[in-house]
Amino acid sequence: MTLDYSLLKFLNYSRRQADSKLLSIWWFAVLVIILVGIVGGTLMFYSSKIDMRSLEGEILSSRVIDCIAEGGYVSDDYLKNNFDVFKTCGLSEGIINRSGDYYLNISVYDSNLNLIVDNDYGNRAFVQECNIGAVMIEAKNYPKCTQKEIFALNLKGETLKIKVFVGSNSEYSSDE
Amino acid sequence: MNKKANELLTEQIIFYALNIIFIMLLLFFVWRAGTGAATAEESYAKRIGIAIDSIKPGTELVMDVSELYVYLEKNKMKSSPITVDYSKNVINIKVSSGTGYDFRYFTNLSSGSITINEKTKFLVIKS
Repeated sequence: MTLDYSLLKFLNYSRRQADSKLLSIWWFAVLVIILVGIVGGTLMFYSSKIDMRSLEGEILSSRVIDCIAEGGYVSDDYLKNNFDVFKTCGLSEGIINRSGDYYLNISVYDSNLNLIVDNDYGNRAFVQECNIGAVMIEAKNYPKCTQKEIFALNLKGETLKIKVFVGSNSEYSSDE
Repeated sequence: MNKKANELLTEQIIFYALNIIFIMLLLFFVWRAGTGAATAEESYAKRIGIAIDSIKPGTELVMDVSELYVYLEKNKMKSSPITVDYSKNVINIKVSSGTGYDFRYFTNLSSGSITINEKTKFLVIKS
């Protein structure tokens, strides 16, 4: 009887020891999972770039609109195609026209929505790429595009519609 | 019995202490990653680049960049944290060893348009 009791006591003790060891192994595994998750998540979060392409597009289109239709009147020079958008708006022709990271399209329509002036600069492939990027859920390397439309007057007082379309992909250029 | 209870208590204390240390180390890692020089370089390069592009011609913009000098001091560097290549339209922020972070702006700026007041540690952009 005494033997049986001591045997039971021993078995109970060794089971508790084993339980404790098992728990510590599981606890260690849980810690490792937490560690990998938090470190991985943090590294992924901070290594991803801050996407400024949409903001750049917004800024560029606003600047072009402010420059072409200053005070709500479209410059006559612009309508006669006698207007250097880069010089007048203080934009770098080398970056917008030749870097391949931007696309700028300025269209002016009359009151009957007939196209009067249509100028575009930069990477024309962005027109198609923006359409593709717009329908894709994950389109990281596709350009971000913005379009702004305003109504302004010409010097004769007629209403004109200005449409500015900007595509930017400067964030993912090879030099960054 | 008393000895066993003591052992159990010590085990528990060690267990909790190790857990707390583990959590503290993780929090420290996350904090360090968030306040690292690389993050500051990218953030400031983009902020300044966007500021250059968004201001209207004839405007002067003043920006506090004293935080960059804190990183410079921490990393024992003596060079200026901000360099501008006016011909390539690139602004570079460098507060640690390495190449820093480049950001390209699309505004035409004349040479000397961006200056830093070393006393106040304010960046002045004249467009």
